Amino acid sequence: MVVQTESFVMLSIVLFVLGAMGVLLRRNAIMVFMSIELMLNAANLALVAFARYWGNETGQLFVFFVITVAAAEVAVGLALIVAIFRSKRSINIDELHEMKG
Amino acid sequence: MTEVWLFIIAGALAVAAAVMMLLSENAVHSALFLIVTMVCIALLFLMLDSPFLAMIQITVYAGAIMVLFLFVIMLLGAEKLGTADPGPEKSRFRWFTPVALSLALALLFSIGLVTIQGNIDAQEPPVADPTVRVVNVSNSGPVDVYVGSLLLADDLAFGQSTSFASVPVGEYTVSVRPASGGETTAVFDAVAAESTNIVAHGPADEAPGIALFLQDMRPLANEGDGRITIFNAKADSTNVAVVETDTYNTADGSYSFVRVQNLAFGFTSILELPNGDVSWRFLNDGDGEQIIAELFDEELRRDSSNLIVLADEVLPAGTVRTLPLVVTAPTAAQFGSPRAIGYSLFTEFLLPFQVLGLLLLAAMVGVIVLTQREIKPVKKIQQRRKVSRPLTSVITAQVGQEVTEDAPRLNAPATAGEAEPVK
Repeated sequence: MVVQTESFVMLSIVLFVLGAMGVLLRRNAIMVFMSIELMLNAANLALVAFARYWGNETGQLFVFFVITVAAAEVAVGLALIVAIFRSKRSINIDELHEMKG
Repeated sequence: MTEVWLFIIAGALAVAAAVMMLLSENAVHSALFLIVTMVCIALLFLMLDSPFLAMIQITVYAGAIMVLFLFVIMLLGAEKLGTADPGPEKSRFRWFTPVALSLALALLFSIGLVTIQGNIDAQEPPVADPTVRVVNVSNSGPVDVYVGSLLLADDLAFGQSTSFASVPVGEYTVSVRPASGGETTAVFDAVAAESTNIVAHGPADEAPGIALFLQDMRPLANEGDGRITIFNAKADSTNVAVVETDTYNTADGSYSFVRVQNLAFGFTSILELPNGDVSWRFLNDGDGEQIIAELFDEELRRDSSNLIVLADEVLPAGTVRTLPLVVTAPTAAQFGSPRAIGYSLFTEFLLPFQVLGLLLLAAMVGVIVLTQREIKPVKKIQQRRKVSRPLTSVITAQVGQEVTEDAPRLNAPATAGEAEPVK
């Protein structure tokens, strides 16, 4: 274990915060989505680092599940974006504040 | 040291690509930068002993999911959408940027501080409990075996064995009690993460003897390997040799390949399971190299730690033969290997896995429902004879007023329904 677990966790925190910034700052819905993917990846990195440190494979299985759920989530989310774009001709999330169809 | 540099390079590249993803105006560029980040994270997964997840990360994340993103971006033509300056009248969300930035930085500092304070690497990872199993080759009938006060084997008949059971670390008294009465004890020191065999052996008319020895259950270096521990429990104190049957030399009656020589009573010998079929003979090493037992391949398993106990078996007729008793147990899979992940997935996590399948099915149905357009019935195209309609009337219909006042006009067909299709 040459590289400390802490280094991996710190890297994962930096990536997570970058993803959070993307979610808060970008106005393009697809960009927000990609930032969420970055946050999921950062969390996965922390999980895998802890799994190795504790010698327990449960963390790796969780990452496997997270990747699968992320795939489903991306498919549904992009379908939503396509549907919104059809009705509003825009995916700028500032313009999507009305709950009207 | 290479590993540290690899971590620094991959980590820096991941962070740089993530920053570029945030800053680039074009969504396609952002997606490509995100792919770079994901490949870097896959590399870090490899460094963290999880080759399977690294593979999944590249194929599913950097491959499938990002292709989906790029496809939707190009489909909507959304490369530049939402990035343009919203202008003064739409600027009600502008105040949000500094607030979001400071929120994100506060998050970074608070989690980072907690991580450093927590001193993750100073904590001791837990060590696996010691495990122990019982093999009975004692001819004095079924035995009960206690480790401390724990009943490990109940009425274990000759030639049978239990699977490994974990016990807490500590010193125990192993007690073997044959059904015929009496008790033999031995001291057993249980060390963490070690696997121990308890072998009860002995002839019919004596109290069983106890042999304690370790079984190496650690992960094997390569898939398809195997380990063999041979234990000599022959009560008549025969020294045993293990030879390859194929290498028998008829000229002088010797074997040119001897695996184990002079294995004395109560001793073990550890071998790697060779490639291909195993065809072994067990010889009496002291007395004229007489064959006492034979063993064939189907009894030894790959990816396992095999135990062969050579024991005397008293047959009902009263004769004694040597029995090579084979006990196998699969070794732990390499940490993070596809076999280890698959094993956990199909044992401990089978139910979550199936729930996940259902979730994916629901997502599929959801996507279809969300993106389905309303299907309107296709109208019949009404065809009309265009020759009968002068250009001026077409223009008049388009413009909404008469173009030429005095031009002679032909009458347009009264109704479209009467027009016959052109043949």
